Amino acid sequence: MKIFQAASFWWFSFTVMFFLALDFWSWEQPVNLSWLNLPSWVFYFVGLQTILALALILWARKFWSPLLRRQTTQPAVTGVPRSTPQDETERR
Amino acid sequence: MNLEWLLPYITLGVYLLFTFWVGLIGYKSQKNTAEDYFLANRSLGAIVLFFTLSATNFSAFFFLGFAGSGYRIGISYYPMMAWGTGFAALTFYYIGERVWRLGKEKDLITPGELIFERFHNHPLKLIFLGVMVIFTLPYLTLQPIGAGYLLENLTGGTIPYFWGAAFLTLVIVFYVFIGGMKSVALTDVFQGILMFGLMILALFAIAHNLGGISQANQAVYDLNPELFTRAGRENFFTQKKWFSYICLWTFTLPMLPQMFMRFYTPKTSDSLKVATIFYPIITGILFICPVLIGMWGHLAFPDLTGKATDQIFPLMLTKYTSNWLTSLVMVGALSAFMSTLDSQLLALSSMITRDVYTSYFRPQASLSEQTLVGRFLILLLAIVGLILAYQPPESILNLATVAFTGLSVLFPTVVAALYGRNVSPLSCLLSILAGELILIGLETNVIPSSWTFGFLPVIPIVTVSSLVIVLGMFSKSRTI
Repeated sequence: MKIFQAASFWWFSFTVMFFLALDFWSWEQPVNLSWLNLPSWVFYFVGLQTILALALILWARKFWSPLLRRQTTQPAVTGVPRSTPQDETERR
Repeated sequence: MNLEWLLPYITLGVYLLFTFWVGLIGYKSQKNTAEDYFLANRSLGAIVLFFTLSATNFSAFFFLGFAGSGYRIGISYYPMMAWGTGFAALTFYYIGERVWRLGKEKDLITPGELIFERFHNHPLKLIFLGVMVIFTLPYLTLQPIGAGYLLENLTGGTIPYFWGAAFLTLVIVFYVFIGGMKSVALTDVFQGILMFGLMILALFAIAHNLGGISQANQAVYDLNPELFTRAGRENFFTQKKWFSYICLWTFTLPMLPQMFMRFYTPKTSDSLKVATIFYPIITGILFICPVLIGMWGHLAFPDLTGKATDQIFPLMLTKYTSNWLTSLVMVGALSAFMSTLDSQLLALSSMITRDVYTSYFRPQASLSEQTLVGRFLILLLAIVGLILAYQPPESILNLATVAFTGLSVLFPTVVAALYGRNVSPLSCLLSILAGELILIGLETNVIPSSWTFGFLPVIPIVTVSSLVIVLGMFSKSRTI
């Protein structure tokens, strides 16, 4: 699906995940112990972290890899000027 | 002779000998070039890169600091760190991949060389270097501090705190000295596996002696339910503070010089991809372990305060596990400290060698001379770290937060270097100076803390630093 190759889609998705991690809407809720007597809100974050990991797998396969293939035909990093011979001497 | 008493020394001895051996493998495969010594010839594959990135990042802050914070704050420390660090792995792509590409293209070895390559400005390069060195030193100090605490607990005080710190530092200096990045990366794989495995073992071993994870949590909840709240004990986390901490890891992680330099080392971009994917997985699984152990510490050690809370991890091990298991897990902890300290020493020494010595004093220095100077600097920095470790801070978390905030000031400059067009070096210079001055002002109370509006200093600092660069871009585009 082409949408997975769009940088804007991933910016939006990761931004949404970031704001979900703030979860201010549940800040004042009373503690409710769940599995292993851990509070249930901890499992919200476990779920969110799982979603993040799965999203990164999808992102790596659908966005990063195709981008890499396109970039291997480009000789330089976009937007970065090449150095001059004087710069090379100064750097060494 | 009592074998029980000898066990910690035997375990430590076997671990150190194995570490030396792995370090020697790195030494024997050296090509005696600067690129080989400082960057392992840019040849790290996916597995080695993942372990070296993780092991380098997870340090005394992870083993001791997390447990101490779990004790003081509670379970909310876990998602803040696990999520925050996992999310920060995105910078491996947005920053790391560009750094890798540029480094390969231009034969860059240090972060300062990238900044100079982009902006051709000597003062900016030196300020950038200075900030990285100054704010890495306190974080570097945490490792011998942690090692000192551990060895003192492991040997029941036979090896006093400072002697333990000094001894471990000497061991690290030795294998970094001889093997450079190859030794460091290989030992990181070994130390990473140990660290991960033994931390999980520690959790289950302590839980077993407390009647299981569920029972331990219930017992702590009955004692102190505040440890299970969203805000944590004594309302440590406000919403603004939570937001600030999550941002702090994203801004800081790629700015740690030992992490930044690892962006130069992958063989291919695929290696970085693997590390990016696995980072949130490993933080999600591992980070809960020391936090829970710290929380359970209230059951046996209810009255700890201040810097004593950062020792809760070795205290719990000593109380609830057998001597051999304590020794084994302590080795895992030492692995964490050593894998970070060796990387910090190597990164700082390479930066000072390349960005100062060869740039301004000996441009004609041979590659052998550069590695010799690098080795001397490793020794010098290790001594500085030990001197600073003589008086441990009140809390590992506080020291780490200040150090990380100082490094996060560099984030807008690096983003500008990699993505910006029309960015003037002057605006980056002013950005860094403004950020650091605000940090100093807040730490010394010259700037009232109310000016942060409830956020951690990192938020107003990075905001101001970014604004300076953006304003510079606007004014430059208007004058063109």
